[in-house]
Formats: sequence, C-alpha cells, structure tokens
Amino acid sequence: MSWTRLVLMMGLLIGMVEGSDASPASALPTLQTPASSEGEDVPVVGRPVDLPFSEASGWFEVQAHAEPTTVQAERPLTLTLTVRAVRPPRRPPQRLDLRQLPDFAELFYIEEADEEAAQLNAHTWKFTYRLRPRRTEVSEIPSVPFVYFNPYLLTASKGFQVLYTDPIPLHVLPPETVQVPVQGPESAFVLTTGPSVLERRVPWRPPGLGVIGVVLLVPPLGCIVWYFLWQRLYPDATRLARQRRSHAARRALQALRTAEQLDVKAGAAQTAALVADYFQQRLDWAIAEPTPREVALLFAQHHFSLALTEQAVCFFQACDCARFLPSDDATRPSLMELQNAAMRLILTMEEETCSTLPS
Amino acid sequence: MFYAPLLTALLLHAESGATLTDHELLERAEAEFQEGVHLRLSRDQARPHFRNAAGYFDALRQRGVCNPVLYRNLGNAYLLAEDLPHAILSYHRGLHLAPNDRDLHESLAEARQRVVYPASGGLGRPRSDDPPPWLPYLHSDGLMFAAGACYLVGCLSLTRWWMVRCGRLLVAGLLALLLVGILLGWLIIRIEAQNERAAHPLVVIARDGVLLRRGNSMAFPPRYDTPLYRGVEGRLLFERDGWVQMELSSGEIGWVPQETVLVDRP
Repeated sequence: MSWTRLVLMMGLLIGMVEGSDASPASALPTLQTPASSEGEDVPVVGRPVDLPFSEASGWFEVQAHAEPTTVQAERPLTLTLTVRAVRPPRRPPQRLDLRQLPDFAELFYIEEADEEAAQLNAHTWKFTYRLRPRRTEVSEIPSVPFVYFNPYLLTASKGFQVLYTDPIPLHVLPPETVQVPVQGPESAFVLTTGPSVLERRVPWRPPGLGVIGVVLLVPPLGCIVWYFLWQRLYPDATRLARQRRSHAARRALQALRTAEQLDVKAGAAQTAALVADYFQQRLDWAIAEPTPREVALLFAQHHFSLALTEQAVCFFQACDCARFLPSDDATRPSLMELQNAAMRLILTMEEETCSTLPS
Repeated sequence: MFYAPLLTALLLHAESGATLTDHELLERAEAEFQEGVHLRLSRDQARPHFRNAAGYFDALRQRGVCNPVLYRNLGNAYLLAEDLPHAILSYHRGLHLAPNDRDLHESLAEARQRVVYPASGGLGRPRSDDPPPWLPYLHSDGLMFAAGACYLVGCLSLTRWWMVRCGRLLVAGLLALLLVGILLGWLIIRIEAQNERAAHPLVVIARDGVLLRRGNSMAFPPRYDTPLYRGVEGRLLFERDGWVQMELSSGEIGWVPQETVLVDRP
C-alpha cells in the first residue's frame, strides 16, 4: 500500500471520528461538491507548521521519480514530483521549497529553481528539482511531504492533508577527483645523488691567532735568512749592490759612460765637472770647480782614507793637466784615461763610504 | 585519513633515527623522492612522498651530514611538498656552505616567488642581496690562500729588490702587499658577516596570518595591520618568554610567537 493511499484512508477515518458527535448521517465522511471552485480561500487554521504548504486545494495524488539513481557525489540528479488532481482542483499546487525540509537540506545541495512547473494537463502538474548528493553515504531520496487542502472533506479542521512520496533508493559513487600536478621548477624535480650527498662539510672558520702569527712571521724571517745567505755566497754581488745603492754615483757613472767624444780640454773639463757634481750631491759640497788642494782638505774633513784622498787629488791634477798643458806635451793624459780614473774614483769612494757614511 | 601521511612520517622518523644507517636513509629518501616525481601529475598522491623524502633527508642532517647537495635535495623535497618555510630555510643553509651555487639561488628565488607579500608596500619583501652574477665568488679558504701567497710574493720581491735594486721588483712587491691588504679586507668583511649571521640567525615565518607586535605578548597591539604569511624572512634579534623579536628583510622590527617561526639554529 502506498503512502498516498494510506494517508487518504487515514483522512477518511479521521473524518468519521470527527463526525461521531453529529447526526448519524454525518458519521460517514461526506464528499461535498464545491460550491464555488475558483477563488475559495484556504483556511489558515490547521495548516501543518513544520511542513511547507503547497497552496493546493483539491484532492490530489503525488508521485516522485529520480533520474539517475546512481550518481557521483556532488553531481546532479533530477527529482520529478508529479501531482495529479483526482477531483477538479480549486487551487493548483505551487512548487515546494525542498530546502525547508531538513532531511533534504542535510543530504543534498538543492539548486535554485530556474523553471516553472510544467502543467501537463488540467489535472496534472510536474515539478522538477536538481539535487546533488553531498556525500557518498546518502542512500536514498527521502519522502517528500505534499501538504494540500482538501475541501471535499466535510471535516474542515482536518482538511489539510499530507501525502508522502515513497523514498527512492540512491547509489552515490565517490566523487571524481581532479588531478592537479605538483607545481615547481623543473630543476626541483631533479635529485642529486651520489656519495657527495653524505659528505660532512664543516663551515669555514677563521684560523687562530697562532696560525695567523706564523703566517705573518715566517715569510719575513725567511727573507732575512735568504738575504744573509746571499750576502755570504755572493760577496761581489753585494759590493755591486752597495755601489748601486748610491743614486748619485749611478748617475755620475752613467754620465761618464755616455759622455760625448769631445777634444781633450773640453772632455777633461766635463769629466771634472761630473765628478764635482757627484761630490756636491754625495758630500754636500758647495764648490763647483774644486782644486786638488780643496779636494784633499774636504776628504780629510770626512776622514776618508789616505789612499782615497790621494786618488782624488791625482784625478783632479790630471784633469788640470789635460785642460791647461799644451797639446804636444807628452805628459798630458788622454780623455779615456781621465774617464776611467773618474769611474775608479767614484767606485772606490762608494765602496769606502758604505762602511763609513750613511747611505 | 588526513593524518595518515603525518603518522607515516612520524613512524618513518622514529625508525630512521633508531636503526637505519646513513646509506639506508639516503636510499629511502631517494626512493620516496623518485616516487613523488613519478606521481607528480597528482599533487595529492605525490605530496606525501615528497614529505617523507624530506623527513629522511632531515634525519641525515640531524645526524651531522652537512653539504650543499643535501640541502638542495632537502629544500626541493620541502618545496614540492609545499612546505615553503622549511624549503627556504634549507636553501639558505645550502647557500651558506656554497654561496656560488646557481641551482640553490634559482630554487630560493622560486620559493620566494610563492611567498605571499602585501600587494602594497614592501613589508617583509626581501631585498636582493645576491652578488652580481659576473662577480666571481672566492671561498674563504681560497681568499686565505691567495692572501698568503701574495704576502709571500711581496716579501720575496722586496727582499730581492733590496739585493739588486731593480725598480720592477719594488713595484711588484708593493703591488703584492696592496693585494694582500685588499684580500684581507675582503676576508674580514666575510668574517664579520659570518659573526653577524651567528648572532642573528635567519628566521622564517612558518604560519599564515602572523602579526608583528610591539611587545612579547598578545596584549601588545600589532605594529602593522598587515599580517605576514609563510615564508617571509627576517633575522632574530632577541628571544624572551616564548616570543621572538625579529627584523624583517625589509627592515621592520616586531615580536612574534616562537611557535610561528623557524629559526636557523645548527
């Protein structure tokens, strides 16, 4: 027996009980013929408060149908509610809002109605709903309560009838998951393998003070040792180095080597001037053209050796001879001899001054 | 179901710490990573594998394994597991060991691109402190060696110049000593940076919606209305009563709860 017929019989039985205190003729439910079929108001009293009212007035049957009955969770299915008037209706049914039914709201997402009820003919209406099961545990579409007013029953207080549709079994499948790829640069998907992965590298730390001290001291000490060894192993080189240390001597020697080939008089004057210039720089001597006597006096003041003093005096005497003796005099020295004597004098003096004078 | 990967990771951690050798840990980490790569088209399936790989790599790190390759793998695993703060931290640790590693630089840049920064203003946005690519990076050991070599060359050149008085040797010796000064200055700057890093380690925001506060309590008002999101970097200044005072890379200073940040401690 369907719910529809069961409720109908219950309504009839209630009508019989309500009429028991009236006349015997009214003990049976009396089916009225509607006096005015259009525009008759539906009473407000007696409406079920916990169920949505369809606004329908008449005598109806209702059926529910779902398609499909096997559906993925959160995917839509169509529920069709067909209402048929078994007697001429006074007011047509309106669309029920299933969201007002807790069973539906809990189990389904109910989409907004976007279409009007389809009236198949004067006595049949069809309401379509789009439902989406919320989860896989949903196993049926619950009964839909269809509340309407039945004016054909004499018991007006029980005129509101509720028809329940049969529950519809439903098989809800797990939802289809959308595959989202892992986001990342392509280099992040490349795994570096090999023994280097297990290395235990210690972060760099600065060396200690001891190491720094050794690093700072060892090269200079090594260089000092190297220098003294070099001095011992190459004494001539040492002497040359000392000679080169005198910038004035180097310049004088260079000038003597590159002197122009003049005649003897001019060459002698130039050579004497170069040596005098060297003396000026080396000994802070202010005399531009010294005589041999002045040279001897100067060397004595600086405590030069007797040999060096004699060598210097002889050089300047030779220069004087070259400058002032007649050209045919056999004792007059040549320019080459003067230049060689000047170089020897400078080198000898440098060698002696390295040990006696500050360089 | 949601906690299954987490539980698996915990179990793996417990197992790895107890019995597995370093090689076994590495093999498992690589296997999990490769499985994640195999399933990369499905994020939900791949992520637990990347997370497991990161767990194994991190277990190696906790055992004392320390090298740029490990940190790159670890950072990549975290990045693909969508754990942005740990990824950034790992890349920074790797760059500390190998500042010239181009892959680490690129991976860190990629991770930073995923960090949510405020649309307006530069709150938390890191400044570009990377050296220009054309500038070669010399390791500190290399700097030390070069400075020592230049110092030796300078001493030898000056000594030889003292012997033979050749001007070129004097110039060479002075240039060598000048180079020593430059290298030592460079090295001192690097040591200072290392000391600064040790005194104020890196801090990475580990949760979304963290507010910088004016003091070390929730009673203090936020310093800025803009919240910080996962991956924002800064430097640790102070710690007090479960709170951390940090200076963001963009210069802002404030307090955040300790449980909302990752601190780069050895």
